[in-house]
Amino acid sequence: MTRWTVDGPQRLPIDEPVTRLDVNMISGRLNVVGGDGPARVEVTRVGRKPLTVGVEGGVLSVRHERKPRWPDFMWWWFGRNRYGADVSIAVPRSTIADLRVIDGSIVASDLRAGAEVSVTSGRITLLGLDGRVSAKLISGPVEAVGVNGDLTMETISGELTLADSTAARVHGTTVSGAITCDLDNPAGSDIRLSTTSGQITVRIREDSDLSVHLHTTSGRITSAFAGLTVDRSVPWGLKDIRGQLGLGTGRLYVTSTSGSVSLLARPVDDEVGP
Amino acid sequence: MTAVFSHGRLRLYLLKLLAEGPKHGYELIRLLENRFLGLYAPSAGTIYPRLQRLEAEGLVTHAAAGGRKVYEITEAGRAELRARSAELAELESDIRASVEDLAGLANEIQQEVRGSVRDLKRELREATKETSRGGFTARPRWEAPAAPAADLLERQLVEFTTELRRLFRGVTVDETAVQAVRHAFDTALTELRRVLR
Repeated sequence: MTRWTVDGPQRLPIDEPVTRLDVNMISGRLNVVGGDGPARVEVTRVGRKPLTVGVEGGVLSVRHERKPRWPDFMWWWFGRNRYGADVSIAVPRSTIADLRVIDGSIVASDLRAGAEVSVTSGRITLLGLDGRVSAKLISGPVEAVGVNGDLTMETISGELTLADSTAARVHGTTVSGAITCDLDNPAGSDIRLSTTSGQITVRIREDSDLSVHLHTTSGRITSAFAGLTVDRSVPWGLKDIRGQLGLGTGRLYVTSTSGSVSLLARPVDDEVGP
Repeated sequence: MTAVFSHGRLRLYLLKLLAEGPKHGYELIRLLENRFLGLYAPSAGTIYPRLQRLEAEGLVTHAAAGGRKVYEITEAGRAELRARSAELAELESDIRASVEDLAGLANEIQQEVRGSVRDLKRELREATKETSRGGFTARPRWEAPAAPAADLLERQLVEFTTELRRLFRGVTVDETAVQAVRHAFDTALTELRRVLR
């Protein structure tokens, strides 16, 4: 067990192998980048309360020490000035990451074995992740690019945006906020997106094999795919569309209570491919 | 990250990658992506025009192999690389610095992601407008369902690839494993050819 107490800007090279990363911060910015080299931790700012960095049994942990108190949000409010820290961590790509910041932002990039990312109030940025990934906030947006594998995004008030995704399973939930997804959905995809008062825009491959269900209570539905069953007799909007694209092996379920839903088609580009 | 590649430096770096051996465009994109920890993945639209220009200038040539263009550096290209070796060394150290400064890197990542997200939203907003103008009269873009037997085969193929992807996911594959997988594919294919003839 190696432990450091960090109370000022510092660079810590980690000599031991790291397979898991566990970060628990109260306030500030957290950056985690996967790479080829060994792990290292760079602290560029610490508030009055120090950070504890430790490595034990392959688990690298970085945390603000404090007694567990409930509810969290009151403590970040009182503690935000005392605890504010900026931390950047490089870990091997195969590291499993569990990242929590109560108030602030998390950037996670190039992790291949999954990550659990949670921010109470702030924003989450994901780039090039693979495996089982979950991004959860109470308030704030999730912006994700190039995610593969299995992605869950949840926020109460905030936007969810997913670009360049090859994930087979995408679940996105927000209460008030738009959802925008551009999916290179592989066969057998499972995509579920729901919002209460936001707009949902999804673009899928034009040669998708999906059974589709689009629903909105008081919004409009726009679809680039003909042949989905539409009730056109309803004069002021199309509320519920179901149908099958291709073989219908995957599922796409999109629902918004008061927002519009649009399903767009992406031409399949054969020019670039492995 | 694009800042590192200003003023024709991407072109120089492409030459450098090709000097290490012939590669096709997709490989070049993957190599660049790896070099930048997945942060900078130039699109095909960025790479191919540059390769074409390099080819027009006689610095690279291409050969078609397996339906893909494989690019190779020419002697003129090597000469160009030698003449600009100082510039290349500077570029390499810039790349290293940009990847080593973690906080700066994270900033770049955030900018990059924010940019992509903004572009995507704009693009999809336009596409939505376009689509709603066209209404539901757009032509179906997929094929009519095939005959039941063919449908079943197709479905099995989809299940097969889905299962394979699940197996591949999260596994680090080395050279021997790739060989083994290829062998398994070849065997299966031979058998299928025999059955379906």
